[in-house]
Amino acid sequence: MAELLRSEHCGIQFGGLRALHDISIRIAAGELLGMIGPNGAGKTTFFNLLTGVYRATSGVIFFDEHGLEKLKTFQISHLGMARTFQNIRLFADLTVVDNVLVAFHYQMKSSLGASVVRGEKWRAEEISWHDTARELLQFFGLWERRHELAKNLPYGDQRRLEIVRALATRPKLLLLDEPAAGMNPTEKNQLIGLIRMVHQKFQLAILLIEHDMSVVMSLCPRIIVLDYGEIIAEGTPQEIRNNPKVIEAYLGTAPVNYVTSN
Amino acid sequence: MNLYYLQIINMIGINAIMAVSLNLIIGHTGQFSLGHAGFMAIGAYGSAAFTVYQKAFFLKLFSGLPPSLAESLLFLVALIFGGTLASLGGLLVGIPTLRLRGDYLAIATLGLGEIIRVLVLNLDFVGGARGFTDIPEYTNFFWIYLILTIVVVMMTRLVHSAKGKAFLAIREDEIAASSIGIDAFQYKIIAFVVGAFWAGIGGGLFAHLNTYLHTNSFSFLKSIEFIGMVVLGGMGSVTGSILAASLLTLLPEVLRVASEWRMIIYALLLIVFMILRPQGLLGKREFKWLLPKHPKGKNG
Repeated sequence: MAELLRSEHCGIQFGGLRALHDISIRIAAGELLGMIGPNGAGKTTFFNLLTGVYRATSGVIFFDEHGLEKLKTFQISHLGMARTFQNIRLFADLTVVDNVLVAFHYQMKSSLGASVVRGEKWRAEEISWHDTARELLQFFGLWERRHELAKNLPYGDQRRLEIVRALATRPKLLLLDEPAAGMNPTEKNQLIGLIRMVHQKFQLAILLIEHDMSVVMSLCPRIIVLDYGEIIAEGTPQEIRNNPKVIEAYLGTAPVNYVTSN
Repeated sequence: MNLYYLQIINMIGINAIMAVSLNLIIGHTGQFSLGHAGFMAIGAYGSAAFTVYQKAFFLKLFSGLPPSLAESLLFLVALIFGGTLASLGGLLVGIPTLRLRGDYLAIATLGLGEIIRVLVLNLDFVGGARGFTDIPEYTNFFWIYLILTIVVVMMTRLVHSAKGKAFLAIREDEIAASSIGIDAFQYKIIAFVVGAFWAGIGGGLFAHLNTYLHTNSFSFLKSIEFIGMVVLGGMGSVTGSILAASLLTLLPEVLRVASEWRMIIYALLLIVFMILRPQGLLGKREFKWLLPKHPKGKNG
C-alpha cells in the first residue's frame, strides 16, 4: 500500500524536558494504526507535532509527500489530515449543523463577498453543502439534533460530532485522540463499531491514540507503544500483549521475590 | 421635528453603526479590540479633510449637475475615502497585534488607538489642538439610517453563511478552527479591516453632523463606550448591538432630569443590567426578521 505519513527520527524538547525522542513511524493509506502508552508518554504531543501545533526540534515528517516542517495547522488540514481532541473542542455555541458546515470551509468555492451579495451561484453552493452536512449527520444519527447547540449535546454525541466535523474536511488521515476517554463499557463497544464503520465507509487511514488497551486491541491490526517519549514496541495486538517491555510500562516491574521456594 | 430629538436620533444611528461594526471584531470573531475610536477618528478626519479641501474641485468637476447633487457625491466619496483610510489603519494595526491573544491584544490596540489620536492632534492641516472647524454639514437622518441598514444587512449576511461561520468558529475555539483548515489570522484581519472600514464611515458621518472635530472625542473612553454597547447588547448579536447603542445613547439624555446625579445613575443602571443579564440584553440571539432568509428555508 502507498505510504501516507512518514516521520523520521522526530523529537521535541520543551526546555530540559524531552517529550518525544527519535519517533520514526510509517502509516500506509487506509491503514488503521493504534498508538498506546501510559499517561504522559507523549501521545498527544505526537498529534500536536503532526498537526503543526508544535514544531519538531529534530527530525522530519512527510504527509502525502509534503514536508510538514514549515506548514501551519490550517495548511496541514488542507493536505488532508483531520483530528479530534482529547478534551472535546467543539464550537460550543454553534449549532450541530453549523459545526459541520464550517468544516467545509476549505472546499467551498464561493468567497466571503459572495455570501454578502448572495447570487444564484452562492445559493446553489450553500444548498449543496447543506445537503452534504445532512448526509453526514444522518449517517451518524445526529440530524435530529441539528438545531441544538453543540454544548447542550450529551457527552457521547459530542464525541461523535467531533468525528463528523473532522470527516467533513475529507481527510486522508484521521487522528483520534483518546475517543474512548470517559466512556463506560457499552459506550466503548459502540465506539469500536463506529470507528470500524468510519474506516470502511470513508476509505481513510486512522491513527488512534488510546489510553484504553481494549479499544485499540480490538480495532488495530498494528499497534505502536510509546513510553517516556520513545517507541518501546511495535507489532500486532498479540505481540504487544506479550511484550515484556509493554507489560512493564503499564504495570511496572514485578517486585523481586525474596522468598525462594524450594 | 424638534432639533434636539433629531440630534439624539442621529447619534443613535451613528453609535449603532459603530457598535455593529465593533461587534464583528469582538462579538463574532472574539478579538478584544480597544482601538475602535481610533478607527473612527481616522474616518472622521479623513473624510472631513476630503470635503473641506476637495469641495471646490468637486463642484467644478460636476458643474453640470445641480450643486446639491454634486455635494452629495462629494460626501459619498469622502465617506468612502475615510472608510478606506480607516480600514488601512485596521490592516496596519491588525498585522502586528492580531498575533496576540486576549488581554495582550486589548492593551496593544488601546495603545495604537491612542497613537492614532495623538498623531491627528499634531496634524496642523486638520486643526491640530484647536480642533477641525468649518466642516460642511452634510450628514442627515437619511444618510445615517441608509448606511446603518447597509451595515446590518452586510454583517448579518456575512456571519449567516457557511463560509462566514469561520468568524464564529475562531471565537469559539481557535485551535479547533485551525484544525479544520481555517486560516484564523486571515479571518481576524478581515474582521479588523471590515470593522475599521465601517467605523471610519461612522466617523465620517459624525464629522459632517457636528461640523467640528476635536481629538478628545476619540479617546479610549470612546472605545470603551462602544465596547459597552456590544457587551450590553450581547456579544455576537447584531440586533443586540443596535438595541444597546440606542439605550446607551438615550439614557444620559433621559437622565438629564437627575442633573448632577446623572452619571452616577447611569453607571448604577449599567451595573444592574450586567448583574441581571450578564449575557447581554439579547445574548447571542437576534430578531429573526432581521436575519437573511436561509436558502434552504426553515428545515435546513
